[in-house]
Amino acid sequence: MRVLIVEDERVIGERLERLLHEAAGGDPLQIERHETLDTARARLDGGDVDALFLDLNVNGQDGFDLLAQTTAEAFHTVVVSAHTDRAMEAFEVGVLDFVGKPFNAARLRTTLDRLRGARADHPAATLAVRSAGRIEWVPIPEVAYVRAAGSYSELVLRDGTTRPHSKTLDRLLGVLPATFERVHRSYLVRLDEVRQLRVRKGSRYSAVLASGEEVPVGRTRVEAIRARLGDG
Amino acid sequence: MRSLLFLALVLASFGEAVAQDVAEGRFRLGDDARWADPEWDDGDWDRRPLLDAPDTTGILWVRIDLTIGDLDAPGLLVSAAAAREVYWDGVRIGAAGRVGADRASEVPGPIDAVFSIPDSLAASGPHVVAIRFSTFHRPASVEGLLLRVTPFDLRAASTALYVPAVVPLLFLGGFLLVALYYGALFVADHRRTPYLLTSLLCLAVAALLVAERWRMVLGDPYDLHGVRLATIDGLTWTVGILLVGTLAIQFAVPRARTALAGVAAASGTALLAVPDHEAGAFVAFALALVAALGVTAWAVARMRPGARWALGGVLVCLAALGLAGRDFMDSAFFPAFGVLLGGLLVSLGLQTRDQRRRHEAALAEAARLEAELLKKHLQPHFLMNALTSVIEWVERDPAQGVQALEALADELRMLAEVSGERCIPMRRELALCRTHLGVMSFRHGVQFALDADVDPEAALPPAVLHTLVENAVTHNAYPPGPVTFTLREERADGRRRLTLRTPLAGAPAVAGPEGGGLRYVRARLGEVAPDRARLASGAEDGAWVTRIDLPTEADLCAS
Repeated sequence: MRVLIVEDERVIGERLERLLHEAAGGDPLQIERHETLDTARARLDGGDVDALFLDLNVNGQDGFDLLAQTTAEAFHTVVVSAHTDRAMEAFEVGVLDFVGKPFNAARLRTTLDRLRGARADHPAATLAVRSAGRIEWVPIPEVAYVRAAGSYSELVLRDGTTRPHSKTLDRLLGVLPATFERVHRSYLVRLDEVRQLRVRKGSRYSAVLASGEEVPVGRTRVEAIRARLGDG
Repeated sequence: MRSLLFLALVLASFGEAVAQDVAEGRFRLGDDARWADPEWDDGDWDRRPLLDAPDTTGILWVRIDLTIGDLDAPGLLVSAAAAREVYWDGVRIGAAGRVGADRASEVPGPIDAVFSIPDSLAASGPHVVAIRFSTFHRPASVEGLLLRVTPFDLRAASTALYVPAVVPLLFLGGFLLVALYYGALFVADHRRTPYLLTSLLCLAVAALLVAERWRMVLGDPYDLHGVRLATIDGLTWTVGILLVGTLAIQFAVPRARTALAGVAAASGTALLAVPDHEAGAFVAFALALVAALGVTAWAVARMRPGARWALGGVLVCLAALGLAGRDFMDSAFFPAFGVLLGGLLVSLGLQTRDQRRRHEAALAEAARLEAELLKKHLQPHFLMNALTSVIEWVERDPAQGVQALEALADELRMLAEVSGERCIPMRRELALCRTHLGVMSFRHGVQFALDADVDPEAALPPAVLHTLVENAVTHNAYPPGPVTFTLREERADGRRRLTLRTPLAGAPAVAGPEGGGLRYVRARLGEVAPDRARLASGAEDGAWVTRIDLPTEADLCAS
């Protein structure tokens, strides 16, 4: 996993790097440390970073403005900040984790678990989407389902329109609310949108959504889905 | 007698409207008791206007033919810079002083004197007035006899003249009241100089009013006329200088004393250089008014509170001066000056209100600043980041960790000590800055230092430099290694300039919206030196340079 740290206090940055290595154990991390977001930007744009550990108060700037830009990207954003009172605010815009200062290795192990596929403590309320160079906020309740589109994803909204998102399905699932379920290799669906499961020829399944649209359901996932729908 | 004196005063001031001066008479040098006789043949006497009476020091007679109508209470005003005896149709009706044949035997009398004419002599028709003068006590500064003879009806005059007589009384009462009020305010309210100057200004104007208009009440003998004229000149000059001084100090004009000395010299020179007494006073006062115009216009340009009112008053006075011309000092001075004083008082009141509001705001501000300074260092951003670094040092190298903790404890203790102060000596501020830099050296892995060449005892508001140093550390990304900030001090013209240079590194030097730190610094400076402290900062040669201009500590920090 490739990790980028942006922290303007050098000693804290060094500590974060040291403890991340310690928490990663047998699964080594590649860590790069930056003291300003400007120097980190080129590296982030390169596209091979998995997670950004971001101090929200870099060089006296309010980092919350930055979150819109970083959460729209393919990599996960983890906030490392003294302002624990602003954790919910950060989660709502789609950060995977919020690590309060001071922190220790145990706390960072939880973060690494989330980076490896566990879901965030608090799901996002909106998703930042970059379209035509601008950031657009898509409220989560508007999203009906998400489908994979190559190396990125496509949010399909209730009104039928779509928005591209740079994150993969796996990473989106990490920050989306628990009502979103993976129904297929290439689909995340909001379960409360599903009206029925339909069996098709050749024992293929699909979920019929409130809009009448059908979304394919993977054979291996049918039972789990049926169980969760039954719960509802 | 008192009422006669009062009437004389009124006539002297406003007489033209109700009584007609006699235009001419026949003069003769020498002395002869028979010259009082109305039948005396004065055909060979020197006939000339009264105002052009012969200039002499010996005994002089004048005979005047005049015609009066049917008067209820006939009276005669005779003004002259001479001792005099007045005869009406050959009957002596009174004297002012005692006419003498030489300086020793003459007794000077008042300039203005009113004589009542016995009813038996006051039939309507022609009469002959004869006046015997001697002028041995006339001062050199008084030119001519200043002779004025006016017959009038005492009863008609008394009703027609009471109303205009009230006006100078009102002015006098008003000026004295304002003088008293501001004198009391000065004693009661922090001995503010503008109050004292306003009080003195009103006193001077009141004195001028008495000197100009009340010569009859004072009843000064004519030989003191020169003293009176000199007094009027001196008071006119004083009023002008006090006016300019009051305005200059009220509006805090820079180098007010030097400017005032210049105006005083110019005005005084005008007074002495112009030979004519009235023209001299006019020019002297006009010069002072022009200076007052300059001061108030400057104050309006600087948006000083109430400056428009003062400017308006000065403009009214100048307009009256322009309209009345040479007559200004006699005809329009007191009403015009009343208007000017009104403007001055309104502006003074507005300024006082403004200062009181600022004072109240300052008290609230002091409490707010103390809370802000303490809060900033208990807020998570400072405290949690500092603790995270300290924990890292404890884990890496416990000895260093202890030092970092001690530095942090020192800084928090110093902040608590200084936060409630209005001013602290520079050495305490430097200690605070250096402790902060010590903490920051641990946090950033940079060896911060502060190189200061300043007076360690000079006072300044607390945590001002500390905040600037803190800003510099926060807004830059210094590479590992030594980083030195420099602090220098210059003094000139009663001001002290502190210059803090912090090298720029890593982060763009943007002059964005003013952050909380600079707002704190401005507020602290404003608290000790409202309107007189300056703060400016900008990038220069690879460094961020902040300059603080303060008055020297003599008047700084005195609450």
